[in-house]
Amino acid sequence: MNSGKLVAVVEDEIALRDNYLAALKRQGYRVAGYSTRKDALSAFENHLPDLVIIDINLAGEVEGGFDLCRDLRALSEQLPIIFLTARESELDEVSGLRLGADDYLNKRISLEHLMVRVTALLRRVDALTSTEKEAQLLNRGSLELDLDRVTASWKDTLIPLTLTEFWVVHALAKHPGHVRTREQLMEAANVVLDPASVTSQIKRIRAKFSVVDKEFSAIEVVRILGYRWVTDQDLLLD
Amino acid sequence: MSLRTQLLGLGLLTLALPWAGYRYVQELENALRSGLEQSLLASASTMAAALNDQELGIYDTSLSSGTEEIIYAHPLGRQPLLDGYRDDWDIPDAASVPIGTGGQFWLALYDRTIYIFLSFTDRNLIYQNAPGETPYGDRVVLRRGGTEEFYDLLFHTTAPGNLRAQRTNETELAPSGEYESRVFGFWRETPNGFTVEARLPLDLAGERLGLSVVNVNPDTGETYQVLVESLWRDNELGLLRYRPTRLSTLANQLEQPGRRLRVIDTDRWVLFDGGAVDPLTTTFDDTSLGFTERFYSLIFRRNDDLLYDLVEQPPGRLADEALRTVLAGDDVTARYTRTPEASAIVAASVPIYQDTMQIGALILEQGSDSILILTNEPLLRMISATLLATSLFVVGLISYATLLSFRIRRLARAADSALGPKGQIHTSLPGRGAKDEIGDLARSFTRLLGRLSEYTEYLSTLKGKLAHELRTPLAVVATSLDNLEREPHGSHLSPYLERLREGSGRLDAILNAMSEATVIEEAISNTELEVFDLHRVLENCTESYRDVYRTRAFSYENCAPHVHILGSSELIAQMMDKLIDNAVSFSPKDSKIEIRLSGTQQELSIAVVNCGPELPKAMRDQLFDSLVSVRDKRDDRHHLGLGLYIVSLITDFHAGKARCNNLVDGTGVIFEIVIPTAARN
Repeated sequence: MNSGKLVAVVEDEIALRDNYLAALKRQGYRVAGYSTRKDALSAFENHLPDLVIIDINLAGEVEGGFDLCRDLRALSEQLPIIFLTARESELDEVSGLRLGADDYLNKRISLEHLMVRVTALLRRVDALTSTEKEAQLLNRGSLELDLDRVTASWKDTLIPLTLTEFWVVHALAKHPGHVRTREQLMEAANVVLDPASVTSQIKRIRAKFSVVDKEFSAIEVVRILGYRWVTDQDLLLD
Repeated sequence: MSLRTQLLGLGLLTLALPWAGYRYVQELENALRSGLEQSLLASASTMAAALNDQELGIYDTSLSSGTEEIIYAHPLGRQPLLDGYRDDWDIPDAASVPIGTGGQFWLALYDRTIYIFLSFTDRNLIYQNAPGETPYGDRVVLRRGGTEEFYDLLFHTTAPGNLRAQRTNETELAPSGEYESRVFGFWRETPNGFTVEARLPLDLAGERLGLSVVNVNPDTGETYQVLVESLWRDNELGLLRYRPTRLSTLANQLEQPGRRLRVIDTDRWVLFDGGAVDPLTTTFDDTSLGFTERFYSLIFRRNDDLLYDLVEQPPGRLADEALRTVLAGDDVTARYTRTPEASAIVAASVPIYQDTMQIGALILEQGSDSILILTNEPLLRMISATLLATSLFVVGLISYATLLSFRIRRLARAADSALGPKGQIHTSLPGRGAKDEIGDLARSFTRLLGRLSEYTEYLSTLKGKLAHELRTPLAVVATSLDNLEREPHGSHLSPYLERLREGSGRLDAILNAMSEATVIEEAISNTELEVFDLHRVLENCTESYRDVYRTRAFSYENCAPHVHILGSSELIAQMMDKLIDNAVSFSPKDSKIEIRLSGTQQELSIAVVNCGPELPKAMRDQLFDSLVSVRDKRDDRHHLGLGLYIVSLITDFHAGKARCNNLVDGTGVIFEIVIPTAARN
């Protein structure tokens, strides 16, 4: 199913890039590696890959990855873009996601987790393009999760969640009322983050829901253990 | 010693200025006085020369035997009435000459007439009943003598009142009835006796004079006892001294205004006294001087010695010892004052000769007020001016020193507090704009602090940067490992791969710890404040800790009246995680960890107590700083001393204070976080 998909990796650290490419190849993807923004962009203008993994720090350009992401979004709105970077600053993460990236990953992520993400993102694209397929839905009160398309909506309004955010919401909403520790959430999101990062993820998820519904309070904090999803019904019972 | 004191001391040196001026004026005054003395002496010499070898009518003192009484006829200012009262005599009481035991008399000269005033104490006043009868009664005998023969004049009366003198003979002292027409008297009774006031022409009086009182007292029975009390002894009459008219005539022409001229004989009796020193003015008369001058008079009192005073003791005779010099034939000048404040009187004395024999001396006196007026005025003005200048100078110096020390102290204070308690550095010091050396110093300090600040900044971001820079190579290692595990490999490689995996995992954990603080710092700056229930957060936390750390017993206790604080519940929970993590790692297995919430309406205190080992004293204050750890053994986890640093970051964010202490009984350690309540905000 993966065969034929072209995954491009833009990374100036050759050894790291080759490792990523090797892992992707093993999964059956066609791969293309670039070191600089220029090389990558000229190649993409000729032929768009199916998914792009970008490092922010590119050879010669400290924020080359951001620029590349912007250019790519101009070329295609649907193209899945993943930032894979050593930068841990929340500011960078927010900037990256605001530029339209589908996910923002730290280089601490294992290859295995990276592959899961790549697959999931490609599956989402597939699901979006083939609308006729029966959607696999998960409904929790006002929340509706489309597991194939990897989309979430609240009170019938689409919430633009990143892949990580979607998985966090999914992990929480799957069993409402059950506490999910940060470790569990990280596992569910196929990502290795420090607890502080989980906290900021949750914060961003809440913010996104709050845009749609100011009263949003479905994610409750259970200290140190983590978070839990509280359905509307639960809230009403309170 | 402060800068101000030093400059004050320096400023006081200028007081030497008025002192020098004072010395100068004093010298000037001394010079002027010497000049005055010289001119006075010259005048006196001239006057003496005018008197030398002149017929002055001065007694030939060589006639004196040296043992006899000297009777000095004091000059009278006006003619007295012959009435038996002495109140019109301008002669001091002290000028009296005693007669025997009960009497005394005064002798005066007015207009070439000798006046005698006798006062005698006598309880039994006896008058002659009738002329020719005995007893003759109480009577007074005036014996005159000299180059001519003696003869006596008798003052005798039958009743008080006017009387005339009669001649008498020496033996009987009886009234002769032979009256001397030029000698008159007045007899007056007094409660104690009688007084006789009499006058006779100077020509009638000889060079020598004696006075006797014949006191008749009723004896027991019919007879009378006659007691003669005399001035003279052994028939030696007193020598009469008076101011010669001839000398007066001559000397009057020599008088000069403002100068007192006196002529004395070799026995120091005053023979002429004319003119007057200008009235003695008190240099620093308190009543007429202003405050400043009175102030100066205290400081610059002229401490002239109390010099010789040419007073007459007894009246009519100068008592001064210095006159011995002039009477020995030498010129002499002297100064004297009566009181320390009075200006000095300058005196010059020159001997007077007649036929190479000294017959007396001339004393010329003058006040030195004119000099004082000359010197005091400029002195006062000069002192005022220099004192004013000195004051201005000192005030200027002190102000300047105050300004300087203020600037230096301000700089010192700023330099002291440039390093904040959390290690933050204020690089802008006050006074950088000044163009002088202190400004240079402030600029140097600012530069230094700036460099220090950059360095500290670099250090504080180093761990974040380091984590970031190490991340990529570590990712290379990790992905390589991932790939390697997927590739077929011999089982003999597995242990190495395992170790590699373990090593890279540990590196990863270290990097995580290093970047965690940075992430928290960032999270804090993005956190929005909310009011929340601290009690509920702590309760939830404790619940969770029980699940997570099953080897420790947790207790939670809340005794705070007000539990809402303004802040971030997430951050507080993270802080608790760090505190509990710390408590768990230091406390023995199955021990108890207490969480307590207490406080007032104003602030809340979260205490975490564990039974771990005591904290070393030296590190206690730095425990909450970055990269400080007191762990003495490496355990399986990675401690960079950032846990409590994160606690302090979050505490600071909530405007609280973090502190730690050993329990009093030594059974454990308490970490306490004090945070203001929402009510206080």
